[in-house]
Order: sequence, then C-alpha cells, then structure tokens
Amino acid sequence: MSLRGLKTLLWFLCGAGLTVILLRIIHGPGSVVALTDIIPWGLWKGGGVVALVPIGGAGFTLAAMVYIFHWKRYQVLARGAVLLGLVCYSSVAAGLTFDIGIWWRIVYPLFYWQFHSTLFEIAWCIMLYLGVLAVEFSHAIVEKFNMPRLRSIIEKTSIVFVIAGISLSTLHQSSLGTMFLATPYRLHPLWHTDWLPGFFLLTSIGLGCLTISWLTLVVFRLYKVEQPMDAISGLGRIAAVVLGFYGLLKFVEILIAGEGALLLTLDWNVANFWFEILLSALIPVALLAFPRFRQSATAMFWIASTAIVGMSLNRVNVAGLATLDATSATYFPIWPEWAVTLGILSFAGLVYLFCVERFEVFSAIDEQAVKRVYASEQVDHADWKTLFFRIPHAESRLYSAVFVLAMGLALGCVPDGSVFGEQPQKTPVTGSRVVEVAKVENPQGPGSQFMIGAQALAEHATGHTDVFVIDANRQAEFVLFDHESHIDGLVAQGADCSTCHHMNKPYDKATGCHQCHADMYLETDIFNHDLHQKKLGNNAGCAKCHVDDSLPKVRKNTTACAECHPGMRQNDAVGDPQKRNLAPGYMDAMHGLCIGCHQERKDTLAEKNEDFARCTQCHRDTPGFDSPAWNDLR
Amino acid sequence: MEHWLEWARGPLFRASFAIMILGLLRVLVLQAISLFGLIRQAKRNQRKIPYAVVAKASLRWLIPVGKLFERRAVFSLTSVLFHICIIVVPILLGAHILLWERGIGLSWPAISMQLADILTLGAIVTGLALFVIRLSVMANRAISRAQDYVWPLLIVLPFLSGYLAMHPAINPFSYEASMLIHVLSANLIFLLLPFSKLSHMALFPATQLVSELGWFLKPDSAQKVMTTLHKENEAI
Amino acid sequence: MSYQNMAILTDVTLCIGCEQCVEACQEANRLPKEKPWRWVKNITDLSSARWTTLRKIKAPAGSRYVRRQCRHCLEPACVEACIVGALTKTAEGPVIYDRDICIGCRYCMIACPWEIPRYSWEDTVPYIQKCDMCYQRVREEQKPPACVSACPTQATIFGERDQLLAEARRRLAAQPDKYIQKIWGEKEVGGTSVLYISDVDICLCDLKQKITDTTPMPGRTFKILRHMPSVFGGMAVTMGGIWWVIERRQKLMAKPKPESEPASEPESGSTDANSNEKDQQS
Repeated sequence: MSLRGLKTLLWFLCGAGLTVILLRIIHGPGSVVALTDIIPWGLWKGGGVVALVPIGGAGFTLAAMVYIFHWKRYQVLARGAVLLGLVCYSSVAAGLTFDIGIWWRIVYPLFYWQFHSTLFEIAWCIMLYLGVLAVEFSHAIVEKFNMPRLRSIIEKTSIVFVIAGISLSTLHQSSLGTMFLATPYRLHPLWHTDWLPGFFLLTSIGLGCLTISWLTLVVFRLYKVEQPMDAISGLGRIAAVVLGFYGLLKFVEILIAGEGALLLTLDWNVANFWFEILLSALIPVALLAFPRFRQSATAMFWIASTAIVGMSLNRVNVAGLATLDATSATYFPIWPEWAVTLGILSFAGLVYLFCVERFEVFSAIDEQAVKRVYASEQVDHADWKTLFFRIPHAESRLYSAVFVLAMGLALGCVPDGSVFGEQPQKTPVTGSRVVEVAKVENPQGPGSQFMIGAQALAEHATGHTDVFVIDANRQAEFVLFDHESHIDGLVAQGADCSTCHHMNKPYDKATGCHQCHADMYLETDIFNHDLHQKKLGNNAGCAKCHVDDSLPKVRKNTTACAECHPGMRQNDAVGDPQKRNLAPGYMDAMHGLCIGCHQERKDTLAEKNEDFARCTQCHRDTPGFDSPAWNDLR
Repeated sequence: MEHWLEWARGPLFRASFAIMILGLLRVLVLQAISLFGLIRQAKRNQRKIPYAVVAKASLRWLIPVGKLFERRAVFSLTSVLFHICIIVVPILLGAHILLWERGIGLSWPAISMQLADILTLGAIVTGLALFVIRLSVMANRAISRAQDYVWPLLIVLPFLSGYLAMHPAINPFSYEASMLIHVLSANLIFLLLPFSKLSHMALFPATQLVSELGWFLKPDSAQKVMTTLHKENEAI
Repeated sequence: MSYQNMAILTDVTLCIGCEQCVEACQEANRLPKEKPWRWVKNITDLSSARWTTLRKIKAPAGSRYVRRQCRHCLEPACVEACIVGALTKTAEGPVIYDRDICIGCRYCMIACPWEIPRYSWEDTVPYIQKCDMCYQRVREEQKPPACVSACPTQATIFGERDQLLAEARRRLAAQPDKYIQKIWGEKEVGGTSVLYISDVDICLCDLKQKITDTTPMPGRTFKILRHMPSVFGGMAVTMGGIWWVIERRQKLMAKPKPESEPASEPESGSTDANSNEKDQQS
C-alpha cells in the first residue's frame, strides 16, 4: 500500500470516528453502542483500552533494553518504541474518555481518591506514564528545535524517567489483569486465575518486542528504506523466549488449577482458548525458533501480526468475550463502536507518521527519504483550483475531502437513535385468540377455573365456553378472559358495549382493543394516513381533509375526524382530547380498563371479595400449566 | 416507494446535508490557507495589494447588477431573481421548517404559502431562462463546461417536483413519486455542491481578492485555465 | 433514633406477587416509566426505571415471586471497584451512590456478583441506577423503605440485621417442613443486608454459576493491589541498580587502563564490546 493510499484510508476512518464521537457527546454512549446492563463493557474497553495497553508496552520494554541494559543493538528502535507507547497511551486515554458515561469527569480520579480500586491505580499509572513518555519523546522535539539548554537538562535526567516509566508500566500492565480478578463468576475458568496479573505483565513484554518490530517493518516499507533486520531478529528471539515462557506457565497454571480436563472438552470457550493460545503464543514461538524466519522481513511481519491479533484476542477474551457464556447474554460491537475505536487508532497512526516525517524518530528515515517518497507519488492536479492552491496543498485537499465525505457518510449510516437520541423499541400487539374451555368451580376459593385441552373438556361435560387468550406480546403469559360472562354480568348492571369498547372504528359496533392499542407499552398513533389517502382518491383527496391550501399539511391544520365520522362513538371519560389521535400502550390500556372497574366492584358487589381486585384474579395460575394443551397455545 | 422516500429524506438527506456543510467549511478553510500563502508571497515580492479597491469591488459585485446591468440587462436581472428565489424558498418554506423542528427542534419564521408558490414558479422560470441564455449566447457557450449547462436544470428539478407535490390538483404523478424526485434531486445538489462551481456560495466574499492576487500568478496561467475548461484547442 | 446495620428480610412464601413494592419504589425514587429499550430484554426485569422487581419462579407447589433488589453486601464488590469512591457502604446498612462524582466507568456493574447495578443508557448523561434502601427516607423521615411499607402481606420486613437473622431462624425452626433450612444472604460473599427465606430453591442472580462462595469479593483484587507500592519501589531499585552497575562498568572499560579491570563475564563483555564498536562507528 502506498503512503498516500494509507493516509487516505486513515483520514477516512478518522472522519467516520469523529462523527460517532460527536453523536456520542450529544446523546450519550447508549445511543451508539450495543452494550447492555449485563454486558456493560464492550469494544471500547476491551479493544480500545485493555488490548491497546500491551501494544504500547513496546515503550517500556525497549526503554529497559536500551537504556538500562545498554543493549545498543536496539538503539535504532528505541525512539520509535517510545513514540509507539505515546500514541497508544494517548489513544487509550481518548478511548476511555468517550467510553465512560460522563466524559468530562475523566479527570475526577485526580480529585477523588479510592486506593482500593484497581481502576484507580491503573488510571493514575497511565496518567503518570503518559507524562513520562512525553518527556522521553521530548528528546526528539528539543533536537529538532535546537534548544541546547533544555536538551542537556532532559538528557541528564532521562534515566530517572526511564526507570519511573518501567516501574509504572510494571504496575499498570499487571493491574489490568488484577482488575478481572473481581469477576470470578463471569470469567471462564480457563482465563480466570490469580496469575492473571503476572500473565498480563509477561505478555506485554513479549508483545512489546513484536509490536515495535511490526511497526518498524511497516514504516520502513512505507518510506522505502531498508529495514533494520538485525535489531528486529534480535527482538524476535527475545519475544520467542518470553512468549514461550508465558505459554508454558499458562498450561502449568491450568494443570495446577485442575482444569486440564477442560482443555479437551468440546465447547465454544475451549475452542476460543485454543485459538487464542495458538495465535498469541504457540505459533509465533514455533516460527520464531527458526533463525531463517527471524531474519526475513516478510516472515517477521506475519509472525508479529499473528501475535498481535492473538494477544489482542487474549485481552478481549478476558475483558468480555470469555464472559459471555456465564452471563447468557450476547454482545457484538455495532459499527459505530468500531468506527470510534478505529478512528482513534487511525488518528494515532497519522500522528505517528507525522512525527516520523517531522522528527528524527528513526534515523534512517530522514528528510531526504521522505522527500523521495513524496516525489515518486506526486500527482498532477489539472484542476482550476491548482491555479490558486499551491501544489503542496494537493495532499490536504485530498485528505480533507475524504475526511468530510467520511463524516457525512457516517452520519447517514448511523441508526436514527444515534442521531435523534435512543427511542424505546416497538412491541407490536397481536390480537387475542379464542379457545374452548371447561368452566368449573374453583376448589381453592371463590370464582371459577378454566380447564383447557381435549382431555379436560371430556372430563367436564358441562360448562363449556369460549374464552379469549390474551397474550398480546406473545410472552406466553396468558390471561384467560371470559367475554361472555362479562357481557352477562355487565348488562345486568345496566352497562352496554360502550362501557369497555369506548371508541370504535367508523362502522364497528365494538372494535377490538388491539386495533387501536397497537403497541404493548408505547402510545400509538391510531390514524392511518395511507388508508385514508387511498380511500379518498389519492391526489384528488388531499383537499378533503387539508382544506386550507395556504397552511402546511399537518395534523393541527386538518379537519377533525368526527366531522367526517359522526357515528364513531367515543366515551368521553376515556381519551384525552388533546391527544385524541394517540392511544395508550396495550398493557396500560388493559390495566386501566380492568383494574378500575374491578376495584369499584369489589366493594359494591356483595359476592366479590378483596381478591377480586388483585392481580391474581386475571393473572392466575391455571392448573395443568405444563400440559400439552397449554403448549399448543404457546 | 414509501421506504425509499423515508430513506431519501432520512439517512440520505443527513449524509448529503452534512457533506454540504462540512464540504463548504473545508473549501473555506482551504481558500483561507492558500490566500494567506499568496498574500505572504506577494509581500515577499514587494507587491502592494490594493485592499481598498478589492473591498470596493467585492461590495459592488455582491449584487451583480451595476456593471453587468449596463451591458446585459436581461441576464443580470434573471440571475439575481434566480438567486433570490432559490435561496429564500428552501430556507423559509413552512413545510421545511416543520421538518427541521420535528428533527432537531429548531424553527424560525416562515414565508406564506402564496409567496412561496410565486417564488418557486420564479425559480423554475428564471432557471430555465438562464439555461436558454447560456445556450443562445455565443460568448457564454465559449466559456461553458458541461456542468454549467447541467446545473440550472438540476436546480430547477426539486422546485418543479416540490411545486407539483404541494399542488395535488394539477399533479399528474402520485404524491410519493413527486416527493421522491424532489428529495433525491435536492440531495444530489447538496452532495455535489461543495465539490463543484456551486461552492461559490461560500467562496464569493473573497472572489475579488483571489482575482486580484491572480495578477501575480505565473505567465502560463491562462493556458491552464483553458486546459481546465477543456478548450485548449480553441481560439481565445 | 439511630440506625445501625439495617437489613431487609424477604419471606418468599408470603409474597403474593402484587408488585406494590415495585410501584412504591418507583414512586418514592421518582423513577420514570419503564420502557422497552433496546437493552431491556424483559420489561419487568431490573432496569434504570425499576430498582426492585419480582421474578416469578414456577414451582410444583405453585408460583413463587422472588424480589430482586440490591443486596447491600456487607463487603460490597462495587464499593471496592469504584474508581472515585462514588459508592459507599454506610454504617446504617445500605450501599449508597453519589451521582455527583460517578464518572460512568461501569466497573461496579462488572464487579457486582449479583448483576444488580443498571445504567440509564437512554440518557445523554447516564448514571448508575440501583436500590439504596431508601437511605434518605429512612434517615430523615424515620420510615422504613418504601417497598417494605407498601407490602400488604409483610412478606418483606425491615430491621437490624441481627434481629432479622434471628427472626428468620425462628421462622425456619417454627416450620421446618415448610422452609428450606437456609437463609440466603447470611454468608454468601461475606454476607448481605438483604436476606431471603423460602420454601423453594431461589436464584438471585442472572449468572449461570450459583453463588455459594463465602469469600468477600473485595479481597480478590486487593490482595494483589496492596503489594503495588512495594512492587513499584522494588522495580525502581532493581532497574536503577542494573543501570548503575552496567554504566559504571562501561565507563571503567572505556578508560585507557585495560589491565586493572578484566572483563568479568564473557557474555556481557561481548555485548559491551559490540556497543563500543557501534559507538565508535557513529
């Protein structure tokens, strides 16, 4: 991939990410993530924080090798590794800012101290380490801007910062593991162990060697400079030792914990574990054992890629994927989550490339090398704007256009909930069914009981009747409603259909509830515009309701329903005239209709008692709930 | 059809409107950057930029009636009317404001439906007239590119379809079909706007400054203009 | 009147499932109406608008209703996890939440073994939502929690934890055939302030694994976390020491007196030689 192509892609991802971040700021994180109360941590935590920190571990690993152990062979990569650490940790900080619910409170751990919290310790370590990395990288900046006094101060104190950085990294790399010791009931036993902090620290060292190798290979390739294979193959050897040791310890731990048998069972989690350990340790270690592969740039690129993917999977597993089973919940990040994580990473990548071009990050990539790459990729913009915009702006024109397009496309592609704020979901109501039952005396108390199924009907020869099975949201929680007996009872008390059927469709005598109360929990619009439009003759009919042509065709400027439908009866007691076109949700309507009446009658009717107004009067346990007849209804 | 309509005025509109706003901002920023560069270059070459003259010219051309009116009265009048119509109607139409209010809760005073009707018809007539003028005048044809012919027609389209949708009695097509054309063509305009000559709606305040600075450009600039217009083989 | 270590005891056998506790809770805490959000699988489950709920269990003897609410653990995992200390276990018993300092990291939701804390995902500025045992109401109005007041059958009662444990034991002893001889919440994860007795086996959390372990949750992380200062110091000293030794050796080797300092180890010697060569090259 060419440098320009890569940068175009990165700018595109940045644009998409920025749109989602802005929406997240406007409407809160819930509007752009697929998280739930049971899975409250997702890609932004697992991928953008827990998996990204060990990738930035290259910074302290290389700092220790070069500045503490004086392994000068890796000097060429030291500054690149520090910069990698800097952009990774900055991305972590940015990702965390948008992940937490109240983003401007990201600084609160500075003021509210809670020493028992692992997260508190991690937050402080990352914060301090970011400062340390900035100081370590400032060498390149003072060099560039030629500030001799500052430079000598920084160089004299540098070893203090290096040591502080290593100690801070030891703490937070391991504490990321400690954090998940708090989830023994969530995390699968193959991952959950008290050794987790140690594993996290160890792998961050092994992975750090490979991430800086990977990055160096890619960057040197992009700028068409010969790759420093001597240092990279050396890092490969160290990574092989560290990751090999990790793999060994991992299996030892599993055996000690007595989970060895688990490894051979056929299970989604176990397959996941094997996949992860193969990618993160076994395959890379096996390949790195061959000097031939360590010395080949292509082989090292693929080995490092495998290890990075595998180790990221390890962190993602611990942070969430391997907990899904225990929670019986599902979660997969939706694309806006990916857009934010990838957008932040892309921005980090652009900053990295910017620094590589402007400062002496890799001594092999100097101004000449950068100029050569750009010269070979120069395009001729035969465009009128070229007259006014000098050629060097060709780059910014391309990237800004891509960025703007990505922002707009992302805004078009996000779900409506992300743009206008999350809305409750619809739960359509289905009409009730009718079933024949035997109505028998209730042995446990007053009232009667319904028996269903062929067997029950045969046993009880008399008292057969049809009842409504009210299960409007199909949750298999039934209310059996005896319509016949309600008619009899209510007519005897001087009521008629309109007592319950308070509003009917134009030619109906008694419209069914679900015809208007169309949603289970939400208020629903009971006016059907399409139907009216078709009935009134399409275009010709508009003027029949939207009479005044000079006003916008909205509800408040439209003829009232009753003017055309004088026969449509409406019980004034029900229905707010202000909201005459909205019907309450089904559940509210049913409860409102039934409970009020029941409560009134429990006192006025002699044969009723306290239970008549209780939930169980309707929501009752009918005998034989598990019988096949009930299952048929479900 | 309804689903397409929903999509066109929901996600598609969001995307194209955002691209228009952001694209215009981008054009402005790029213009500012290169203007500063050009001014610095001019200063380095000890050239004086006559800011007072530029400012006066900018103000004069803000309403392009003065000078142009003397030479081509019909054209300049049509053009001004066209611009007034196409700016006023989309922004101040009551139905559009209702949509904004429903979507993001912002509203502003609307013009009456009668006035909107008149202005819409005005936009259609002047737009077509501009197209005819461009076709009929030789000097115009000489400096025209393909997009110069397409734009007046493309801009007339949403006005025509919108007018038909609002007047069902004279609309030979169904309401949905005319709405779909209306929304789709408007979206297409938004989408192309910042990447075409229509970006003058953001760039026009500095046009005079740009052409003033243009005098300091390289000798072969004129040739490049011709190349850009794809008319390099024609006589100037 | 002062309250100390208060608790709630729910007798599952007495609950008739009338949901008046749910209603009273929503009213007392001014919670919005429950809505079928994308993340709410079942509208009658715990949610940001429902701090307590009844879960129906179908048992052979008929349905039982188990009231779910924050367990107010004696050693709460959420309090230990919270990064800014927005959650606190009060001496009065409840675990309370300070919404003014919560940053929304949701570690409490991960750490809670009972899956209790909910999040108001629907809000631009979301907060953790959970039962606080009507902390204000109990302290200032001297009334029991709203759910307890509302219960028509006294299935759920409020009192000092020790007294409630004694009451629970009394009931278990009075009707040994009826009840399962166990008080839920007496010992699990170090004990909770919300206790249950029941005649059927009840499940109080969403996770597959039933919680029987009596280890308090906080120790699981703090047993490692408390070593961190010494790890930090140890690491710094080790690294500083290694640096000093190598630095000094290199300086001595660079001096033009080779016979006084013979190379100690062949391996490190070769590394040093390498680096010296490179230094000279550059």
